[in-house]
Amino acid sequence: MKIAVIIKQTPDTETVVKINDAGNDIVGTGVKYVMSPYCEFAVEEALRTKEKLGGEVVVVSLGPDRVLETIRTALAMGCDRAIHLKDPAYEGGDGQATAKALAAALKTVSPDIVFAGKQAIDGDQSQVAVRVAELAGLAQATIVTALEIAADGKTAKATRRSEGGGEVVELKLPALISCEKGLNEPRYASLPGIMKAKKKEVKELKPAELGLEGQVGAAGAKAKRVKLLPLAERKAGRRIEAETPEAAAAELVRLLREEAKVL
Amino acid sequence: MDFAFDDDTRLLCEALRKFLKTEVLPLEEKHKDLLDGGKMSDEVARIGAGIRKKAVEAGFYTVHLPKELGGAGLPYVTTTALREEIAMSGSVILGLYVIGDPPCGPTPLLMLCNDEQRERFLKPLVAGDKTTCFALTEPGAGSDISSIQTMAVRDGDDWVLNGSKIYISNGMHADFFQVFALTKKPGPGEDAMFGCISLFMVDADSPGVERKLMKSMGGDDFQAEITFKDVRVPASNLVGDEGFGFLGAAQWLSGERLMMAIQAVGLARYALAFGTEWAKTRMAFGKPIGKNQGVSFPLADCATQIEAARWLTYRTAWLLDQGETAMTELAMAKVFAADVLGKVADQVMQTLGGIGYMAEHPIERIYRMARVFRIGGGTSEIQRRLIAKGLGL
Repeated sequence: MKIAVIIKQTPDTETVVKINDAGNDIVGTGVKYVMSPYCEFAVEEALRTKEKLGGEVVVVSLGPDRVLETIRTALAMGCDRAIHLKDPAYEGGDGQATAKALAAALKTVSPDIVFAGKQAIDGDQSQVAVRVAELAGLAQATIVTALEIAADGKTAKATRRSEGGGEVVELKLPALISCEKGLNEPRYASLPGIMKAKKKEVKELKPAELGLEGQVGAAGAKAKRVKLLPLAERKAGRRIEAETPEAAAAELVRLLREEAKVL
Repeated sequence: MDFAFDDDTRLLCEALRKFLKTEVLPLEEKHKDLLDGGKMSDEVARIGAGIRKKAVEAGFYTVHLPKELGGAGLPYVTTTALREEIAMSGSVILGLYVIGDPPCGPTPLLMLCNDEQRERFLKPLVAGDKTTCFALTEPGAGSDISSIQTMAVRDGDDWVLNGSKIYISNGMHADFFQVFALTKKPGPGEDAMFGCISLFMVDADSPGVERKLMKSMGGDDFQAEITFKDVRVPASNLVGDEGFGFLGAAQWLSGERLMMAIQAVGLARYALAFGTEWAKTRMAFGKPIGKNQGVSFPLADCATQIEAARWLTYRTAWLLDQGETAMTELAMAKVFAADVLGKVADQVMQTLGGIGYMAEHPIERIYRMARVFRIGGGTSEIQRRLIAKGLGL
């Protein structure tokens, strides 16, 4: 089975990001980058699929030099090889431009199944995975919390989370699965895995090699971020001091009712 | 000049952080009462053994060993970064089971073992099936190693051991001990290190071995007194050259200094992060206490000291990677990092105020632990003596 997984490198959730002077991006220095957590579920599911049905797992990621670190993490976890879309021309794209590049790269792999995170934790747009599926003509199930692939590798049954409930969909492969928390528990790379990852292939592809010159990155984007709004500063909490727990609870109820007006 | 970690180090640290988050910290949370601030009970040792097995599988347990002993053969800088990850993770005790560091796990000291001894002693340590301890210190011989009194007398195919060892970390749980004993009484003016002190592997269940828990300020129930009364040890358990057991150990002890320095740095970083968060969120007189310079400046000093200790330690690791012995720098890193940890623990406790003194927060435990860093692995005075020697004094 040909298995592909799309991953994105994002700032670590613990990193405090600052907005640049132009007000349209974050300051890149001093930021710790990691694999977006939902992509970790995608990598894990790809590896489990390979362990069950055999085949090969190819990682695909778009971004500058530093992305190689995250690709190496995926390879250390057990993916077999990688495609790195690395070129200044890829930078500054919107969901569509990025998806176009990724879909073209996937075409070189001809996967039976593609895994992706349901969203990246930086832009939170949840666009790329669905656009890739559209552009590549794949069936898709988004926000998946459970997956069963038939032994013959022709169909899959995906459980999706939806507001307050869920649904089960049957898909004809090839398909794209966007992964949600709860699908699995991602493994950590082992030391032998990290050492082996160094020898695994990471192929770089330029826009021209995908026949996409002038169509990716900023040149291919139809939407452009013009401004980043800072997080509202959290107000300090308030401590309720009271003689007894009962008195504290009563005071809390009073505040919720009279000040917060939520009761 | 480049202060960045290489890719291997970064990837390994990331994988180790995940390992701690998945396999270690949740267990510490679950068994909070049992751990009781880091007490090494039989039950905790049992839980730790489970982690040890997983760490063996993931390859972390032997990460510090040279390749010929079944390790990863990694540079000192990398193993130092991994130890820092563990120390700053906030793990109370179970983090100790992740890397097979001394005293419990396989040490490069076991390079001295011959093939047959490697099979019997090194292999089960590398597999995480057994643990050991380093039995050197005696009631009358700490830093002054040449004064040890434990005696081994040859009798047929055995050596017969008599004597006692104290403050032996992991002494209560070790499956076998690495015991240093005199195989010859030193003559007048003779240094026992050269020709008299030998190294024996002694099974913990040998008849005549007695071990007793020693309670400590750390409250970790980790040290023991071990006495040997006519304990028969097969001659095939003598490791290295007879009379020269300590020279092999000396090399290992210098590695221990690097390990303690980075542990001190990691713990200090954890404590400072804890104190900083507290200073940001604890309100007094209508604002976070950290807005007062009386609170923020001492923490700024802590951060500066940690930074200095951290890079002193990493530079020492780097020097070792360049093939230097770095005796002076090892001593400097250990003595300085130990002092910094003490100061930071003290300052953070002051920042926390009353709650810092309470056992429900980790700072009082770190404060107590910090003290041993100036004593164990060569006292701060011994380190200063080494530094002075480096100055030609």
